[in-house]
Parts: sequence; C-alpha cells; structure tokens
Amino acid sequence: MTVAALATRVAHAGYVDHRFFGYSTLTELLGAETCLGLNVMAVTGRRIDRESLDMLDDLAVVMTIADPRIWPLKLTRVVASYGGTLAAFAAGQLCLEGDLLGPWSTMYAAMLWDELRTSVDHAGGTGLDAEIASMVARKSRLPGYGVPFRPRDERLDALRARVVRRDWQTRRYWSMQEAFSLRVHEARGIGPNIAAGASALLLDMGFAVPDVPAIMTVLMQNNFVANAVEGARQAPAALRSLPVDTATYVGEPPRQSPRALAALRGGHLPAEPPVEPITG
Amino acid sequence: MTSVPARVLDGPAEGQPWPETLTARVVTPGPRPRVHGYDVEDDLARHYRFGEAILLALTGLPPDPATGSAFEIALTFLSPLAVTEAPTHAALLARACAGSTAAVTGTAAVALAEHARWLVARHAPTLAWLEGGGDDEVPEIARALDDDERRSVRRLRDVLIERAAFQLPERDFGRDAALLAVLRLCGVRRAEQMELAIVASRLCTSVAEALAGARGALRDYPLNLPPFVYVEDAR
Repeated sequence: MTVAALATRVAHAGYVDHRFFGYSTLTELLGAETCLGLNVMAVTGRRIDRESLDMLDDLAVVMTIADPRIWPLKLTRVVASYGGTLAAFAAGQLCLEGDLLGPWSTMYAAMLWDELRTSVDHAGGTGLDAEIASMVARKSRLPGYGVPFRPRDERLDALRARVVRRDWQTRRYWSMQEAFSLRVHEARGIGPNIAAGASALLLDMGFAVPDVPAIMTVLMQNNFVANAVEGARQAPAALRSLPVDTATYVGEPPRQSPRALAALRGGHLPAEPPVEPITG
Repeated sequence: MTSVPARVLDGPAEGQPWPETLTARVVTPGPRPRVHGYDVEDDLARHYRFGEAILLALTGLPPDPATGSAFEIALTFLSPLAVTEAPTHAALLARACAGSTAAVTGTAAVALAEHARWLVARHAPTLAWLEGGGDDEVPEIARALDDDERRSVRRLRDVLIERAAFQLPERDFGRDAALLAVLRLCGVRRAEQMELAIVASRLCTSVAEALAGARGALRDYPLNLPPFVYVEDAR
C-alpha cells in the first residue's frame, strides 16, 4: 500500500507545542497575534501588519449587515429552524461560491483591478485615464458596480471615510477604484458597491486575487454566526413549516400518468416509442 | 433580560415591493401532493417504482418502462462509493468525530454534491460529444482506462439489454462515461440534472458505510492515511 505524502504548510500538532505556518503557536503567536490575524494567516500563510489588521476590522464592521431577511442569512435561519447551529452555519456558506453576491463577487471585482493595473503597467504611457476609459467601454459587465434598492452603497461611503481617516486614499488600487467609479458613473449612471472598494483595499494590503474570497468569507462570519445562533436557539416552528397558502403553485396542472390511464382502460399500457441507441 | 421593541426602522426590506408568497413549480404544497401534476399517493405510488419517480422529478415526464428500468440500472451502478472515495471517507470521519446521523448525512451530501459537480464538469467533453450525436471519435476522458472498466461497462450493457431492452452503443466507454450516456438516454440531459441523479444514487450507500462504523471511534481511524508532511517556508 503506497499513498503519496501530501505537503502542508498549515500546521503540525506536537506534544508540548504546535506549529502554525512556520510559527510556534504557544511561544510565538500566543499573546502576539489576534484572532483576525490568525484568520489572515489561515488564508495567506503569513502575518499581516497591525495597520492592515485595523483596516480589516473596519472592513468587517462596515460589512456587518446581518438582517435575517437577506437571502443567504434567511437560508441560515431556515436550516436553523430545527435547532442545529452548525448545520445552519454551514448551509449559509454554501450558496456564496458564486458571482452574484458575497465573497466571490468581490474576487471578480479584484480581478478587474488586477487587469486594470496590468493594462496601465503595459500601456507604455497612455495613462490610467485612457485605460479606464477603454475598459469601461469594452466590458459589458462590471463586477462591483450597481447598488440595488438604494441610490448609494452606504457601506462603501462609510469605508471611504475610514480610508481617508487612515490616510489610505492615495494607495494604488483604492485610487484606481475611485477614478474608475467616477468614469463608470459618467458613462453608465451606476455607482460602486462595497465589493469594488473592499477588493481594492485588499489588493492594497498585498492580498493576491485568489485570497480575496477567503478573506471576505472570514470578515463576514459574524453575520452568519449571529443568525445561526439566534435561529437555532429560537428554532421557530413558523420557519420549519409555513402555512400551505404561503406558496403559489405555478407548475403543471393535475394530470394522470400513462400507466394510471392504462389501468383505467383495463390494464393496457399505451404504445411507447422505441428507445433509440445514440449511435447506429 | 427584558426585550424592548426596537425603534421603527426603515430599509430595503420595508421600502420595496416583494412577493408575498413562495412559488412552487414541482411539488404542490398541501395534504395531497402532486409532482409535476401527478398524484403521488394515488398514481405514482401505485404505478411507478421509486427510481422512476426520481426520474419523473428530474425530467417532468413519467418514464416508459424501458427508460425507467435503464435509469434504475444506472442508479444502481452509480450507487456504491467505497470508503476510499472522498464522500464516504468524509462521512466516516463525521461518524468517527461522534457527529449525529444528521451531521454524517449532511457531510456525505455536501461531499457527494461536490464529487458529482467535479465528475460532470470533468466529463464536459463527453457530454458535448453525446450532444453532438456521438458519431466522432470518443473523447479521451470518456474512454476506458483498463480492462476492469471494460468488463464493468460490458456488465452494464448486458443488464441494460436483459432488463430494459436498452442498447448502449458499442464504443470503448469508461464506466463513468457509459453511465452518463445512459442517464442522457433516459432524458437526464442537463449537467444539473446529472449531478442530482448521481447524488441521489449514492447518498444511502455512502451514509450506510459510515453508520456501520462505531460512533466516536477516533482511535480506529488511520490518521496517517495518506501521510501529511509539514513544511515551513523561510520567513
């Protein structure tokens, strides 16, 4: 029996101490690293500076929008209605691996900034404005743009104030995002949402594009935990089974199957078309 | 702790028009359920086997007897997923961690769904080839890797002919490709339908394997299979 060994940089469990991405947990990280810092290490394998951790805390706070009516959180509540916290939490995470909402949509916005930065670097002097104009004209869909149900994304406005307060507004990806947003608003009349700003900030902190969804997942956990915990404690019967009249059926009308019809006619099945092989 | 009413707050959930009811498209809510319009208790339960009812749920159409049998044969061929495969392995670990039956089943369901997604995506060339009529050369991913696979596909062909008069073309299919071809012949054509059929076929066997082990038997689990080697990068 031979199974190739798998390399891991994550951790090793010892008898008197443990390793985590190259650090002793009990002598180097204990007392020196924060919970958020450990989660950043879990994604990138490296420690992050205090200033960036503070910015990540700001980002987590502006993304705290834990209203149980929001779709992934409602999903969490519905599963929690049987009283299980972790099943509800896990289920809430599963629907986020797509480009419509949540952490992965932020990654697509980060890809936009990465592409824009590459274009500017290789443009040979045409400049940021020209590249932005070209990209806005070229791309039909712009991840990170469009604010549903309200004129502006209040989270991004709040984040912008924190960015200015921390004097991060001149960092490359953030300023690129701000210039891009102006152009998009002029050209299409839509504004940026939190994904546009969050992704730019994460790139400014040195995160790689593939790290973005995992970091965003970490930063949004409080929203899911809160709903899984309260939902499981309440375990409301109202969510376990809604009244029948809360659903409108729009499917096929009542009908009888061929076999039921044949039984009514005396047991003879109607003729079935022959099954054709896929090739001759 | 005494709860007090929150301030009257306004937001998108209050300020937008939203539908007031859920929309049901397959199963009628209420005491007399129908699936795609067919009465479950008085029609499907009388005239259709469980596998056929699954196929009806997937496609919206009650299958003819040959198609129903072929689909059930495909499900049966798909159903075993040994403990060496990730979904059953994961379910066994959930059992070893003293997870509840719900936790074991949920773990298996998630891993099976991932496995099915991976399998169907991997076979995109196979599905495109089948969609095109299957006249060209069989894509590489669809070909049998060894004689064990060829013998398995031979057994599939034989039982399809015996029990369903269902003919799988004589091509050098691998087992997975042959089973996807049968699903497609049964009307399960879209990738999402195939993924669901695969998960449905495997959930019970995977969880049964896990539940056959002792709950909380951490010491019985081979911790170093496969071995992990911890490496550190220079700081």
